[in-house]
Amino acid sequence: VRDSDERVLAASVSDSARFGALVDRHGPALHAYLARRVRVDVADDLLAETWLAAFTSRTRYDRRRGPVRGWLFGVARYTLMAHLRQQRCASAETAAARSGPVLDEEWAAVDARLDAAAASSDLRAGLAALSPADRELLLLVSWEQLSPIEAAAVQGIPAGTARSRLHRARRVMRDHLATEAGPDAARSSRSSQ
Amino acid sequence: MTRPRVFDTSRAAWEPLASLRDVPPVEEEVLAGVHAVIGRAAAVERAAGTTPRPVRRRSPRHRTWLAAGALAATITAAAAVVASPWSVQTTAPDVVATGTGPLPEGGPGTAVGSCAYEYNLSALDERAFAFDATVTAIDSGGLFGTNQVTFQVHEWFRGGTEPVVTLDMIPPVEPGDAVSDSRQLTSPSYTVGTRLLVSGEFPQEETSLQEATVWGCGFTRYYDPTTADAWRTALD
Repeated sequence: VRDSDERVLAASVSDSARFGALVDRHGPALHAYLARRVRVDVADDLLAETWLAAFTSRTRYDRRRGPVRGWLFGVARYTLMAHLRQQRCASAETAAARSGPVLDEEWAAVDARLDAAAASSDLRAGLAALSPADRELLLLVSWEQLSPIEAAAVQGIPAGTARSRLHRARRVMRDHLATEAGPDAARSSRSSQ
Repeated sequence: MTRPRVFDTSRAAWEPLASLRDVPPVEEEVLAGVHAVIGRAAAVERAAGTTPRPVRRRSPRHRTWLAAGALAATITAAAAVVASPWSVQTTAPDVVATGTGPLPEGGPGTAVGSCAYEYNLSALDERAFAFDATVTAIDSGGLFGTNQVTFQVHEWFRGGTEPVVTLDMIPPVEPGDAVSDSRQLTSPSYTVGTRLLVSGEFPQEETSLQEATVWGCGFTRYYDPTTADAWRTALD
């Protein structure tokens, strides 16, 4: 029986060698999270940054803020956002362009990914219709396969808020995809709400 | 003939999205590199007898080291000063926490510079917020190992009006501290009572100080009247 993430993290405070087990467990998933949003070589670097940040701040983990897995994704998100912000600062010509929401940068990367995958226009339109925070939450659940509680920990919001936002995001996506599926599906979608 | 999609409202509405989640698996050497980084940090921790300071942003020029994968573990300390601030344990200079004293020069190309931007008044003018304030409280419960630092603001140069603000800041360096992030060397030490000139960037929301990033590298520095005048003029 393997120890829970929380026990491993707690043990790693006094025995740092224990921390490696978390890398083995969650390293691939964190890398995938990053690689869906930046180039793979950049994801490689950000992965190391993420884990070092997690290691150096492991004593500050607070279980009340969510599961360890959600906390780790939160560290990865923090690292990713800092990277995207820095990239934008380096490329944007005006202060106004540099100060916009960083999640817009993430959306640009996600949109490019959808483009490369020839995603349906309705799928993209549905995602574009979401607020940046709702869209990020949706992707955390869909792509990273986090639970709503874990996704809430990533965004630093209460679990109930995450569930509410997911419900709202799902409804928007359902409407767009039902439109694509045809009038019958659209009616079915509307009647189920 | 294309088969029409059967829309089942009982299934997750994002299922079509989930089908687009595939990415190449992480390479073994990348994970080995992570283990090496953690191993070095653990060694630093053991040698220092304390938990290393948390890491904040690095410049892109420091990102090349991981390509060497596990070889990074064999980099000599001298080379690592430039190659990776993580792999180095340096000792803080005798920085005083009384609110005075020079800051080491940061910026590209310097030994202590993992700074993306060199401090000058023109670069300062691009920061989203700036103020003159005195530290009134320090709480270690900030995001990812940072401190939550509360300021009594004497003057806002840009980006706010609140008389009291609390921001996440990288922990201060104290004389003899083990430093795991070279940017700590380009940030002022501080304690309750230290008067600082602080600047930085807002997070995702354009004007929110919550989770704002306080910039080091000279963009946050000890207060003195002359510098405050220069900030006031530059940020006007």
